[in-house]
Amino acid sequence: MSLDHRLTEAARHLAERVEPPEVDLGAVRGRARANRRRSIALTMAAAAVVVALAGLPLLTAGRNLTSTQPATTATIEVLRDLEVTPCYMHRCVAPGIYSIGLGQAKDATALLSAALRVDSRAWAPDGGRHRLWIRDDDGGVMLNVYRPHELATSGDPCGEATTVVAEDTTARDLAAQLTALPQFHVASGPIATRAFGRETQHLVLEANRLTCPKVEGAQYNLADIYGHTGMEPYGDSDIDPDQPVRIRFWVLDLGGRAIVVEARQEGRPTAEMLTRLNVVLASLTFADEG
Amino acid sequence: MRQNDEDSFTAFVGANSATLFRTAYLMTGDYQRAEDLLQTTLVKVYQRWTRIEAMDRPVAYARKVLVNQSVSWWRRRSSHEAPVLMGDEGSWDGRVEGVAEHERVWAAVLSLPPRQRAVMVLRYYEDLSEAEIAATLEMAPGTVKSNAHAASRRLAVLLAEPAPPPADPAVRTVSPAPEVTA
Repeated sequence: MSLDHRLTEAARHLAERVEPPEVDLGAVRGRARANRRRSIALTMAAAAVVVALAGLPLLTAGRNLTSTQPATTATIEVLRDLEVTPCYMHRCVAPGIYSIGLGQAKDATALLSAALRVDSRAWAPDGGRHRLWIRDDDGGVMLNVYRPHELATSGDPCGEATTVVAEDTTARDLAAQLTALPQFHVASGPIATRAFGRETQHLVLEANRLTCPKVEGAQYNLADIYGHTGMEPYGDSDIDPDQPVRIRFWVLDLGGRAIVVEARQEGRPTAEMLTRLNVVLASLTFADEG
Repeated sequence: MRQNDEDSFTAFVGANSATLFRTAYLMTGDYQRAEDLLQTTLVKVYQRWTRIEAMDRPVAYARKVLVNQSVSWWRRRSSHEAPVLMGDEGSWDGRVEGVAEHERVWAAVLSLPPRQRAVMVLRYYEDLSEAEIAATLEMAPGTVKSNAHAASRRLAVLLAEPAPPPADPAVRTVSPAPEVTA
């Protein structure tokens, strides 16, 4: 019997053997409604960012920026939630402004969000993990914006992110912690820099070739991150090994939370990809609205 | 939410929750965790139902949420915390050797890194194409292929040895496959 056949048989048999639970729709709706107030407020906070985008902050400290001004259009695009983009195949993010929920401020008086402008259909979304990316066979670029829950600064970075980020971690603290990521070397920073209209800590990490030797096919899990509600860990910031990686980080304090902007280059991205990454970076802005 | 949206969400849950739960179960090997994953997924879907309902395949969004949460959850567990399949005595069909073989095969799958495991579940249970798996896991198709290849090679090693003789049929928990370094 072939391995394919054995796997198919095992999956079907084990799945059919287990009796699914009755779904408590009342509990589902109850949890959803409990989150609804936060979602509505988040949308309002992010909508305010659209107005603020009329004066998009320039990224003052980014290196190698070929363009710091986003492409502008005569119309105001509709704000969309990056987590729910109506497509499942690559290269299908419609141009427009997208919001990324970053949860609540530490004192629970404000909702935190980021907004960015996408000006081409080159990007693929993964809003659940707060990222956009472009990739071809030789390399790619990626933008992650998140509040980290754990960092891979101890243990095996290919197995788990093991260092919990403390609730009271500041941007400065977190930037220092990022310098300890295994297999990376610090190319520059951390230094205090103004970007996205805010004070940030900026650093650049590089790795000639990340490896995950213990388990074939594993990925380097840089961080586990909170989801858009900020209430529970949702996803991760992972990296395919066996390729050069360069990451420009900006870490900022937003509502008492340390938020990470991670602009990543993997493999050999094209000049066009780098330009697109810098254009989206230049459009990025943050809001902490009560 | 309007009443017709409530009704369509109820219908969506009725039509898809069993399959979503079984996918979660195969990803986690744990009934309780699978139940938690399903409920969290349905909460997320409900919160955005009016937009998700308009998509071509709402279940694809739900599956994406579920699988990615499962991958993340396993990554936060200790690498020494090996998953095991929890048996369901109530549905025991008495086929000792067949069941033992299925559990042995799936214990090996559960020993894979989370993203390889997700590729295996989506391929062998959900019967998704490479492109659909890539979309679900937000990977490049080439990354799906390399993950599937690495998983198959590892499973071939893990499952190459003949199965041990059936254990006591009353014991339904399967030991995890041994760790193999590449």
